[in-house]
Amino acid sequence: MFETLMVKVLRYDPENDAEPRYDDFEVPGYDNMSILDVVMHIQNYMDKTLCFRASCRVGMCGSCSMYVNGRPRLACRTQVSMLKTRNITLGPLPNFPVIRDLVVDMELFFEKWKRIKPYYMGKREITEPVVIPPGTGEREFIDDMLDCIACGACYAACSMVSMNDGFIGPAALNRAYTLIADKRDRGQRERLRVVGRTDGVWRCHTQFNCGEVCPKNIVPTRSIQSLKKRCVLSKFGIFK
Amino acid sequence: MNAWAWLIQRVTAVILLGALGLHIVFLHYGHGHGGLRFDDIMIRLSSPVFIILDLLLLVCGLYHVTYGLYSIFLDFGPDVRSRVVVLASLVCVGLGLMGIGFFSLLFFK
Amino acid sequence: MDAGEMMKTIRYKGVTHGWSSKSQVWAAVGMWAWLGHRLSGLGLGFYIFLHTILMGSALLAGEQAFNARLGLLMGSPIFKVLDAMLLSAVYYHGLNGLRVVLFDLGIGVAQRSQKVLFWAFMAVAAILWIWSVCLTFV
Repeated sequence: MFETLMVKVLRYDPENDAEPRYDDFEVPGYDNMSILDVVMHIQNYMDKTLCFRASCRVGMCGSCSMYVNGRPRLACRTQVSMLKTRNITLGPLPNFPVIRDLVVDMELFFEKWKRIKPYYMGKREITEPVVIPPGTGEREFIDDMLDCIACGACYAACSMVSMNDGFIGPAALNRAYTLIADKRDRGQRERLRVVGRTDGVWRCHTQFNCGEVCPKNIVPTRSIQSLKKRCVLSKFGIFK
Repeated sequence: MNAWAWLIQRVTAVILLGALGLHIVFLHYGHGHGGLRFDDIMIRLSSPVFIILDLLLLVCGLYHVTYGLYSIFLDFGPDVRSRVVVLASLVCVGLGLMGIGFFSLLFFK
Repeated sequence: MDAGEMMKTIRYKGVTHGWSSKSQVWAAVGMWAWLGHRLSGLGLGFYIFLHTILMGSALLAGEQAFNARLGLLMGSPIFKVLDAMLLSAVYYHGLNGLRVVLFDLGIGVAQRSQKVLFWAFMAVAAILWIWSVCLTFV
């Protein structure tokens, strides 16, 4: 297919523009073209001032997440053919402040990420490598959740974040769970305290928007539900 | 505190599923043609089982509603001061309704 | 205004700029399930407020006043329609609530199964509602 794609891109340069606007581009399509190819083409051949983030182009770094036809997606992992239309509308991720065009300010997102201490803190009594036999089921759940590349798609899709940007959000909660559930880690209590606050897990109402858009097929709702269970069970002195 | 409040919300939810179901069934079958009459209620509420059932419904229902409304409010990310004011108001209204309910169930004749 | 301050003034959120209507959030059932739950919850909350006050005061007013008031209410055809609406809210909220409780117990918390659960519970709710309405109107 070499059809022409009709691409609308949201443009906003806070230093020069009073208001955001949509620019139209006609981009020649080709087989296996991704949205990242589309914006690269626009930037290379049509409008050098278009701003967007990209790095690895293979769905590993999480930089190129943007709003594609009403849905947060990774540009490099979204093939034009998946959209099933020639009309493509691109915008910056919702729920984030816009720096310019398709680039958003991830500061608050990562501040929340840091709040849950997203790094492994081994129990001090562990001196030997911990043995976790395969098939015990201890790591399967956690390992899937660890695939998170912090792209922000789930945070962009979450309607609870859009109502209240104080809510920690699915990404941070998902990461928190991978560490709280890790039996080698010693930070359970302090992390549970952070996620158990009013702007933590309790603001999730299982809408599953996050799982709908995650490019790694993670369902943060699962982690959050497990966290709620832990918050309650810890009141009874049980850590599961 | 959040965890307890949330847990009780779930517990009252499950209780309500049962109690409300019974309440609807009893009220539907608890009267003859011409609608519900005072006598029908007298008969039902002369047994302590039904009084307890209705009281349970009252307490669980009002807790569930109060938590639900407060949760909706919290979803908007209000500041601490607003939270205190709203929570206090909701609790007052809830307790007031509970009082009306208690009083009417136990002292009507 | 420097760059830092400029960034703080840019609040371009999907919701305030009309994206939410075209947003994918409405494409999946989970969002609608939650919205329905919240709206039915508000409706039921309002009903409980009325019910407690009206029923309580009617009971305390004595036999004659009670019968008069309830006769008035239950005799009117609008009452039956409102009753059917109330029951739909009760069944929706109750059954979707059961779905939420299942999630809290860790059952069915997966992208596909949560949708299947929703439709299954709605089927049950529909059956219960039709049965109740038939009982009321017949």
